[in-house]
Amino acid sequence: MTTVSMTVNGKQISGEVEDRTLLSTFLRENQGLTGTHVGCDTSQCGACLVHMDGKAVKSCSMLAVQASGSAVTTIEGISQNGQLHIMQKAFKENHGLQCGFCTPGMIMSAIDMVNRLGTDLDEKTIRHELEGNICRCTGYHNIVKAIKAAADEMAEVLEAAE
Amino acid sequence: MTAEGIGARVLRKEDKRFLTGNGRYTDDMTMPRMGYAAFVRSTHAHARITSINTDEAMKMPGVDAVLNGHQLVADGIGNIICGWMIHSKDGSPMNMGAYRALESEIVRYVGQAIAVVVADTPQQARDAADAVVVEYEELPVVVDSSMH
Amino acid sequence: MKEGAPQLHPEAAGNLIYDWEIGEEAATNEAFANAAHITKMDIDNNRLVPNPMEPRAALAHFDPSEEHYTLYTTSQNPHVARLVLSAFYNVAPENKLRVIAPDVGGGFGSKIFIYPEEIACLWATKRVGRPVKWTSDRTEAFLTDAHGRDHHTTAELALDANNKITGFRVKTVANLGAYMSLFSSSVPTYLYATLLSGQYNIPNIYANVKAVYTNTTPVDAYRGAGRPEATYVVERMMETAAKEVGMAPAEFRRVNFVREFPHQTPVIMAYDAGDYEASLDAAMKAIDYGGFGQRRAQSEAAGKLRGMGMSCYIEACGIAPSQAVGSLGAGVGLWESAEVRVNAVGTIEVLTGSHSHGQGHETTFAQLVSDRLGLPTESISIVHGDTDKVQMGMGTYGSRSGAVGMSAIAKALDKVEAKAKKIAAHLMEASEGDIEIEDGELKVAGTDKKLTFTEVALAAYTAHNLPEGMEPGLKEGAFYDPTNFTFPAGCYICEVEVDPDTGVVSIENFVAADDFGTIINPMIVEGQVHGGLVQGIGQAMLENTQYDDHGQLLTASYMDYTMPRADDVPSFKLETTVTECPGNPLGMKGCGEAGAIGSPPAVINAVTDALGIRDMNMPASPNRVWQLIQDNGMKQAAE
Repeated sequence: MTTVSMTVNGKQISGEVEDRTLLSTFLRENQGLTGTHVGCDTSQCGACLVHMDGKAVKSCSMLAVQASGSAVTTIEGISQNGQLHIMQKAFKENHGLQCGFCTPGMIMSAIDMVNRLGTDLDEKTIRHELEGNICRCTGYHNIVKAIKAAADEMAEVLEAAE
Repeated sequence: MTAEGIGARVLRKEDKRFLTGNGRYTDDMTMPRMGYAAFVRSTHAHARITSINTDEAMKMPGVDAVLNGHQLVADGIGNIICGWMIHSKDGSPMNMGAYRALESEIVRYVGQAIAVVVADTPQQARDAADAVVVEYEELPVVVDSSMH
Repeated sequence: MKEGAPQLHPEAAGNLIYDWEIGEEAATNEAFANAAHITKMDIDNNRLVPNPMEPRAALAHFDPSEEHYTLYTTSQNPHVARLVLSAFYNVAPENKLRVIAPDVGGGFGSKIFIYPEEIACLWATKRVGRPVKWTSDRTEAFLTDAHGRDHHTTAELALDANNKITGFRVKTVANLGAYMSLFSSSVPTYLYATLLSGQYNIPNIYANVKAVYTNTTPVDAYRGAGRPEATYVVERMMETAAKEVGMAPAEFRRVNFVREFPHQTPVIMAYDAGDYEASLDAAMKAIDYGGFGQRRAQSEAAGKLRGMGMSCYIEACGIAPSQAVGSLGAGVGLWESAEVRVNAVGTIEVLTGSHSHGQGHETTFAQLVSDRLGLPTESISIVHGDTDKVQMGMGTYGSRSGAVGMSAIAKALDKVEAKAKKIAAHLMEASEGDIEIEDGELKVAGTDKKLTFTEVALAAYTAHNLPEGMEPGLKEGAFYDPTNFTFPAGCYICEVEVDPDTGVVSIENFVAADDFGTIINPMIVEGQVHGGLVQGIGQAMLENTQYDDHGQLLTASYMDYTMPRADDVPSFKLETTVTECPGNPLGMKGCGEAGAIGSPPAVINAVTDALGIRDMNMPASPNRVWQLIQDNGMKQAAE
């Protein structure tokens, strides 16, 4: 057993885990943060995607001990004061989710996409960048629309702030 | 008719919980003293099971039980059924092979459940399921249904 | 099945499950004897793995003091699960077994069935004296979730001298895997062969279906269930026959469309309403059919091959009525239930036997109530998925929740409205016939007298002043059994570009024109179509379930089984045409499966058009397409 400590959604936490415990298991079982989902065992589907120190990682394919000392953000951590994040809001307004299972990973991936590439995203780029996230319900059409809409709105917010 | 009536593009009421990680799926549920199951599955597509040895598995940490099909049948659990009767053109009813939730005699596809382990953690259950030794006598396999 | 194949079950000689037929064989043979042209094809429908993103899971609990079980499970139909677990698997009497299907992450058919793992968890929880949870990993899902499709078919179409279809003869072998899953037997029979008339007036149809066992994962219903297989056969045949007789595929279809309703096919179905030409026209306009030649020339100039293919699908949803499906062999009735529970303060709970696992029932069902009573959806909650809360219901599959599930709600609302009007009339000293419900109020027509819905609900529960003899409360239930199937139909057109150097196919344009009857929420319906289209395109271009000769599943992870990803598919252009379904009070037909049913033949018709070939199997993977290009080039060079 090993003690791991990290910041999760701005809160300092620690827990005792078996060395082989995956980050996704630690978040779900030890921390009760069940918004992070596990849809495959091979890091293909992206349902488990979280941010670690500001970068997207697939939490099913890294150990909790590897995340020790870092700052992790999960789907539960991106709304502020009860207000949906622009990306969450865009998924709702564009019907970018159906069963909701891939949704947390999709949203975390989409936010990461904007963080890395900026807000000027075209359809081709969005589709390509989503290669690490599988959705079986939506056919991606409305997910692509949602990410485009959110990126546009984020651009406006940034412009207004300048 | 209202603004939210038939034909209106009403945004989904259920979305908020899914968007915020508050959906409640079966794997998100927990109960006090909950144990975890892992299945021992057939590695052969068609084989006669000659023995199921659970001795090692039973000794492993956190393991509560290793249960097999003999016990399941003895407890009166019924075979899995197909609920739609089709008759052949000669009037005879369809030929339904016996399908047990845990098979202990002949397995007929890779992945078919043979035994179930219950343990304190999913990892312990998985480890113990891997430690169950099933011996098989392989039978010939048919995969393709084509006539030509 | 080949002679001498290994025998799986002592109950099934030659691994034959059944040898079933439908239609008139002699009359069909006669049509072929007199045909001016016959088109014959061997057509395979590749085996698929449903792959809802949430793997199956079960959490079972046994309370020894009450001898009572609780099962949380990933089910599309918790009441059916309880019924089968109780009546056939002897887990517990129904009143001692509560089945809860909470949020469920997609189903696509694969979560209809009751699997070994749920049974084992329920059995084990009592044996070990603690709650037991099992969660499938993805490879277990590939190995044990019921697979879909897997047909080998030989089909023949007979035409007269005017290119009218006179006969259709189909022989299919359906691979049901190693065991018969819950509804597996119905898929290649009543859900398949009854749709072989397509959108066309075909006087003679005969189909023979043999279902067989193999050493593979059991096969059962997967999005569309039998109807995609039928549509694929019919629409591949239509496109090929058109080309063989030198007609444009659209014109050949027009010549043969059913144009008068109701229309009785030779294979049970009685189509109630439709306008197939309307969806064909809408799709052709949306894709700029006339401009295709120019686009093809542009592609050719760039060294690419361009092709266009269409598919005019019909499906049967809301399988019913119960008496009819019973006579065809179903072990259950296929009605649906609803209870509308008005609270004393006028908010509403609707308890439905349908189950939502992505379809958005919490919104669309509330929209129906809002529409009828003029209340905001905010004050209407939909309750589903718990056998302790909701009356017996049949669940969600086969695009039935709108046409059947919402019709049950509509019937319950009729009763709620009738009682509310009686109370309002009594309180306002008016005639019951003069009460109108509008904007959340009950009004006396032609006067300014009115009561809010909340006031009437409160009066029902205080019961201080109700009409003579009326029971207190405002809560009504209904069971709805439809009079017929519903028949969604439409036309899909796919335009592809093929890179002859790599065999990579890209979909350049895809148009779907659907007739779903009444639409409750266009946004949600479009989402259903998008998702269905990508599952169908996945089948046509990417997905294939591959076993080796030893029965090992080679495609048992996302590293090996090609799930469609965002950059494999385009955005879609959707069109809607409407003929209302006369068989239910809302005029709805169902939209959940159409995309997966109509799209595979459109894609393959487009790819074969681009390559200038007649036959090919799905999926149109780069490897297969490249090989076909090489083979075709060799053939042309030899000629």
